[in-house]
Parts: sequence; structure tokens; C-alpha cells
Amino acid sequence: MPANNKLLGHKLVIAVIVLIMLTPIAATLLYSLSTRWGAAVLPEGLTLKWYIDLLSDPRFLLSFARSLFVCTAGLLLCIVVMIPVIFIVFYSLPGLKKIFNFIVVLPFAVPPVVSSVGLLQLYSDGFLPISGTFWILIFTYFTIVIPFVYRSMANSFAAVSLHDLMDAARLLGASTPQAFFKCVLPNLKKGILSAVFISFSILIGEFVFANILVGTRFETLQIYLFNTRQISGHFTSALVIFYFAFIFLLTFLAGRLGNRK
Amino acid sequence: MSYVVVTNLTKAFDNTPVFANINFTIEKGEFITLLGPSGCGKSTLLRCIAGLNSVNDGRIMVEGEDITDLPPQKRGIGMVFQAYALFPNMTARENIAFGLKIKGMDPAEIDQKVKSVIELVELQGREDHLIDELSGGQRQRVALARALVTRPRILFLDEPLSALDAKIRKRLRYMIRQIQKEMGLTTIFVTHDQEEAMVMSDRIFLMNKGEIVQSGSPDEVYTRPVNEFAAGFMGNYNIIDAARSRDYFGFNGSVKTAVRPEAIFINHPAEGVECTPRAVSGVITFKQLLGNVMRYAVKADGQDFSVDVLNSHAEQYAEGQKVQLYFTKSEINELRA
Amino acid sequence: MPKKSYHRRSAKALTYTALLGPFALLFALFQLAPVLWVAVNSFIYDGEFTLDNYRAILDSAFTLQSFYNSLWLSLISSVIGLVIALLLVNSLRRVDCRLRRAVIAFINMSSNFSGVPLAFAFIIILGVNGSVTLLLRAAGLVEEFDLYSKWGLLAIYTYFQIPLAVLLLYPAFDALKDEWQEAAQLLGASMLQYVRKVALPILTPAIIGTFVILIANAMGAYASVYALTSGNYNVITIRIAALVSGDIFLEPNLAAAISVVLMLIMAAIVMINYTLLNRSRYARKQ
Repeated sequence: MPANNKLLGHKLVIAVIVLIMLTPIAATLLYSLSTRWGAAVLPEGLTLKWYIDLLSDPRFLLSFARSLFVCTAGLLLCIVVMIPVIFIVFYSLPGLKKIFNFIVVLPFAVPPVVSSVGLLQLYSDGFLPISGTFWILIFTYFTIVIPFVYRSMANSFAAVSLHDLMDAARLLGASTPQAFFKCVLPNLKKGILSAVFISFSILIGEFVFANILVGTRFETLQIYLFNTRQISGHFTSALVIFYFAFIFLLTFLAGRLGNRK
Repeated sequence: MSYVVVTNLTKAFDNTPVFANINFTIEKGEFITLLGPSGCGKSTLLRCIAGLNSVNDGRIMVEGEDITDLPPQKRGIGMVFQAYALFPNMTARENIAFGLKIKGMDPAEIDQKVKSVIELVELQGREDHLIDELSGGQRQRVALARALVTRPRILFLDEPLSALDAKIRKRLRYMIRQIQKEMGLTTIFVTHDQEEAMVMSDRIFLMNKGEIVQSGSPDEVYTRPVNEFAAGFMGNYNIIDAARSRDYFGFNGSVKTAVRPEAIFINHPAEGVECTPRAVSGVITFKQLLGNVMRYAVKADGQDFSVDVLNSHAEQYAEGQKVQLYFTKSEINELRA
Repeated sequence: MPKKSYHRRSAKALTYTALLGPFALLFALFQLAPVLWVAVNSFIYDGEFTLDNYRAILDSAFTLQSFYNSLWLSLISSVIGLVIALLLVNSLRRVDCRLRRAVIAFINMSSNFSGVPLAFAFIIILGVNGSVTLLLRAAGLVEEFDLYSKWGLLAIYTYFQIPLAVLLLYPAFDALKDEWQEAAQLLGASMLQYVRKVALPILTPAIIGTFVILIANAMGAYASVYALTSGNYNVITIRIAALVSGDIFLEPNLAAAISVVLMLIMAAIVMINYTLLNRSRYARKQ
């Protein structure tokens, strides 16, 4: 049966590619669980020691907390600043949409390394000497997530009949802010939440700004990961797996939200 | 003074005029329909009166109060939108209660009012569903209830039935009219459907290109179109040009006339109907059964006429048959240019 | 009356400013200003307006090598990543939707597996004593695999390109309708003819767009190279970073000039692709 063979072929292609993609993750997981893995294809024994070591390392816990803090702050700042902007763009000034379509690709067009060249010179001294502090991370993380926050919020805005809802609410006596907060914003919850999860998993993996602009002065999870690479491969692996599990949780939650009706 | 008085209302979007110098009055409790093709400005006129769009000039008075510069929140106008505009984050009940809550009404009183309006629109058992979980007809009834519960001074209905299928549309038409009469609610209804306008309205304002072309009772607007547009929009009028109008009916040669298909008789006029002296001879080119009516296309004197004959008792004519056409004297409408 | 409308208009302008202002300020300070600084200072050397920085790029074989290395890695990893992604997405269309959804979810997740953690995972499996290296050596496929060479970097680049390419291409493939293939068959077209005349022209815009993003992604990549080679492999991003935050020679203005060239190269790639795109009538309409 050629049709069956074809299907098998497709499944084989998928299996091989998924296997390739899975190998580094699986190997890291195995490494993090093994007592010793020297010059052999398989490890000698299994243990949870590295995870216990990791979770009892205050430096790790602190760096994780720092990461959570800067990511949350940057993201929150972006959402709070963007909500009124998107509202204005969709409600009163649709002409600005074109400008925003450009603004939204700019962070992609400018590699973070390039931005950091300018940032380092502009904010090392002068009127706003925040380079080397977590402030610069909050503000640069704000710029990183603009496209994701804008896109998902714009999609939600396009999905509700914004003008009708606002008109209806106003005719029923609500002021413009009341109409927005009570009748429009609650319907955007899903879009905003999915933006939060996507943005968060991107920010928690951010290394360039953290390394060039701040480095060890405010050790985030990624910087900690880099700095402790010499301790032990097993320990590092446990850290990578912990990080990956965290990302997994975030993408899983984002997916759950996306699929829910 | 009338309940609603609109004078010289003028609106333009970026120098493109939508309508200019609109004048009309509405009495308390009247059901008015703004009827016209899409793009004629009827919805914009409604939105201007509601305060959702600004006006360039003119005054709007309700109960003797000038509301032209009031924000929509303070006009006391209830509106039902074509696409419902229900708040998807709220249940049916919460949608209906929204206006009362904004006013800061006592919760017990809100409950009681919401309950009675839900009964009025027959939504019992559905009140705690989210909007997504309701059918189109149910949604529109929630929208109606939401507008009614605030006891608006005027109720606006902006093509509220056009997204619904025919059966539900007929039921809701009846329900709206029933409730409107019971509450004595002054209502402005917007539609492009002439049948809907005819069955629902006390008066019809027929609009075209930003102008009120004709206003009057449904019967008046239907049987006495004032110009070619009105005749074309309201029914299948036969429009007869100026020269033929002179020849057939003795007009002065500068006006066109319009005659409804059912006011023309084939071969012999109905008993007791006075027809114009001159009959026109022609040939039947086509016939079509429209339920209780047989519609004939007749080519006569170089022009096509539609003639409707009641199917039940009429004698049948064949395609190709030569016939004489008679015109009911009282049904010949002189048209304005 | 005119006074009133003037009042209303200025109140409106005030509201807009209050609502748009914070965003505009932050965006200007942290997105526009750095790029502007880079553009301006690339022309300044020793306080003078000059092209010296650009000349220095051309004069330095080391800097030119970094451009060559970056372009080589980006182009090849983008092509390989794109091909693998096309294979995967094409096969995904043919299997049942539960498997498809699971694979997409996995790919979505692995798209976050990049940078420093990815580099470490690669060290574990492809390092000197990595299990995959050992397996390959045992099978006699390689003598010695040097992860820290360009081939190692190509492997890691390709790895992080695949998920991105899949996620970008998947929606476009989803738009291909089975009925088109059926219609083409009924009209007498072979499978190959269908692919060449219908499927490919429809997919071209998505493929080209994806390719551009992959290249930009690879050209801007920094974390994985830095983590893998501790900044010892010579690619543009490592070069730029070393010039602004290295231990010895700090030359921010030279870094700015390199940055400008990097952005120009990316812009050129985008332009070339748009020209290609414009040849297709279908793509122009999109």
C-alpha cells in the first residue's frame, strides 16, 4: 500500500527530527541525574544530589529571584505603558497603526549587541547613570517585549468590536475610562496573559544585555549559569534542566490559555 | 412643542457631507423608522442624535431640552446595535444591569428591575449565561432588555434584526413593537428593509443621499411615492416617462408618473374601479408565479410594464398573448423631479 | 462656539500626550537613542567627524574575518534549518492532529532552549567526551569532533534555527488547502507539477520571510557563541561586545561602525528578499 508507506515515511521524518531536537535536552537531563559520566556512552549511576546542591545554593536562589524581579518589572512596565497606547491607537488614532507596525519590528532589526553599544555609552554616566544596575535591565527588557505585548494585545483588540462596546457603555451612562476598564479590558485578559507568559520565557533567557550592561553586579539566572560553568558539569546540567522546566511550565500555561475557549 | 425636535442638523466627515439641514419632529410614543439604502446617512443621523458622533450644525431638542452639546451619557437614549455590542465578559443579567449599576442604583432595586425586564423579553432561564453561550436572537433580546431597563427617553434601534434569520426576525419584530406600545416608548428604528419599515412604523422617514425624501404613514409612503427614488425603493412601481404620461393620462408633458403593478388591469378593469380613458395594447413576454399573485411582464408601446393579478380568481394569460392594459385612475402618482 | 471646540481639542491633545507620553519617552530613551548614538558615533574618531572607523574595519583582517564567519554561519545554518523545517512541516501536515499538536508544542518549547543553556547541553553531548561524540567515534563516523570550531558552532546555530523556522512556516503550510491538490490532480497535473505550479508559489512569501528572520536571528546571536567559546570565536557580535565591554581595548566608536555595517548587511538581505518577493504576483498581493 503506497499510501501507508507514505504515512510511515512522514512519521519517520518527524521522529528523526524530533529525536535530534530532543537529544541535547535528554542528555542534559540524564547528566544532571548521574553520579559520574566520564568517557562512556552511558553514565555510571543515578542521583538527585545535584538538584539538592542547586536548591540549597543561596547564590542560585538569589540569582533566580533577581531574574524574576527584573523580568516581572520590565514586563509589567511594558503592559502598563502599552495598554493606554494600544487603546488610543485602536480607538482614536488608527493612523498610528502603521507607525506601530514599524516600531514593533525595530527591536528585531537591531540586535541587542548593537543596542548595548549605545546603551553602555549613554547610561554609564551623564544624566541617567543606571548602567550596571538593575534599572537598565528593566528598561531594556521593556523594549525587548514591546513586539510581543503589542502583537497579542492588538490581536485581542481587533477581536472585540471596540467601538460598539465603548458606544454601548457610554450610552448606558459610563464615562470613557469606566467603559474601557469595565467593558473592554476584561475581554483582553486572555491576550494579555498569553503575552505575559511568552514574554516571560523570552526575558528569563536573556543574556546579552545582562552580560554586557550589568554582568556580575546584578547576577541574574543566566549570568549565574555562565559564571558557575566551571563548578561541575552535573551541577550545571541540573541548573539547565531547572531552567528548562521553568520555561516548560510557562509555555505550558501559555498554551493552556491559548486553547481555552 | 413636539417631544423630539431636530432642526437644520448637518454632518460632514472631513468635508464629505453626510447630510445637511435635516428637520423633523417626533411625538411622544411614536415609532419612527428611518428607511433607506445603505450609505444614505441614516445610521450616522441616528448616531448624531445619540451623541456618538458630533454634528457640524443644527439643534436637537428632547422634551424641550437642548441636548445638542450633551455627552451621550447624559442624553437618556437607549440603543440596540446591529452587532449587539453586548459585553462578552458579562452574563446576560450583568449586561442588563450595567446601566443601572453605573447610575449607582440600590442593588435590590436593580435585581427587581432586571428580573422584570428579563420576563418582558422572555429570557427567563438564560440570564446567567455568558453572551457567547446565547443564540443570535437571544443576544438581541438581551441587548433590547439592556436598553429598556434604563427607561430611556428615546429608544434607538440600529438595524437590530438584520443579522438574524427570517423566522426569528419576524418574531422579534412583533415583540419589539408590542413592548414599545405597552411602554409608550418613543422609538427610532433604522432599517434598509421596506417590508420591516411598513409593518412596524407609525411613520416612515424615507432617506436617500443624506436627505429625508419623504415622510408619512407607511400607507402614504407606499401608495403615494413623491419621486422616482421613493417609487423605486418602496415597491415594484412602473415608472412612466413624461411623454407617455402626457399621452396616457393627460399630464402636461414635464412630469413622470408611477403606477403600482396591482393598479394595472389586463383586458378588463375590475368592477367598480375607475380607470383612465385610454387603454394601452401590448404583448405578454413573461409570467412568474409569486405565491398568491401572478406577475406578468407586458411589452406595450415600447415599454416594459409589470402587472400583478391575484392568482385565485384571475383568468390566465399565455406568454405571447396580445392584451390591453387599463390603469386605475386614483393610483397614478405624479412624481417630483 | 469656536472657543469651546478649541478647548475640547486641546483637552484631547492633553489626554493623548498623557497616554502616549510614557511609552514614547521610554521607547526613545532605550530603543531609539542607543541606535542613534551608534549611527552618529560611528562617524566620530577622536572627537572629529571622519570615516576612520569604517576604514579601520576594512584595514583589520581580524574584523573582516568576523564578518565572514558570521555570514558563513548565518547563511548555512539558515539554509539547513529551513530545509529541515520544511521537511518537518510538510510531514506534519500528513499525520493525525494529535501527533501534530504534540510535536508543535514540543517545538514551541524547544524554541526557548537557546543561548547559554543550549551551549552547555551541547558541551555535554558533543564535547570532547560527550556521549554523542563517543557514539560517533565508535561508529567510525568522525575521528575527532571539535565543538569549539566552526562546525560545532554550525551545529548549535542550526539547532536554534529549526524551531524558529518551524513556528514561522507552520501557519503558511496550514493555509495550503488539500482541495487545491485534488483540483490540480483532476486537471491532470502530476504531484511534481502541483508542487511547482501551485504549492511553491503560494509558499514562497512565507519561505522568503522566514529565511530573512533566520538570518537576522543568526547574525545577532551572541549568547551561545559566547558561552561555548568564552568569547574566543570571532563573529561580529563577539567583536562588538569585546570592543565595548572587554578587558583591554575599549573602542566604542569602532564598535558603533561595525554595528552600522552589521545593520546594513541585514538591511541588504531584507532588500534582496523583498526584490525576490516582488517578482511573484501572489506575494505582492499578500
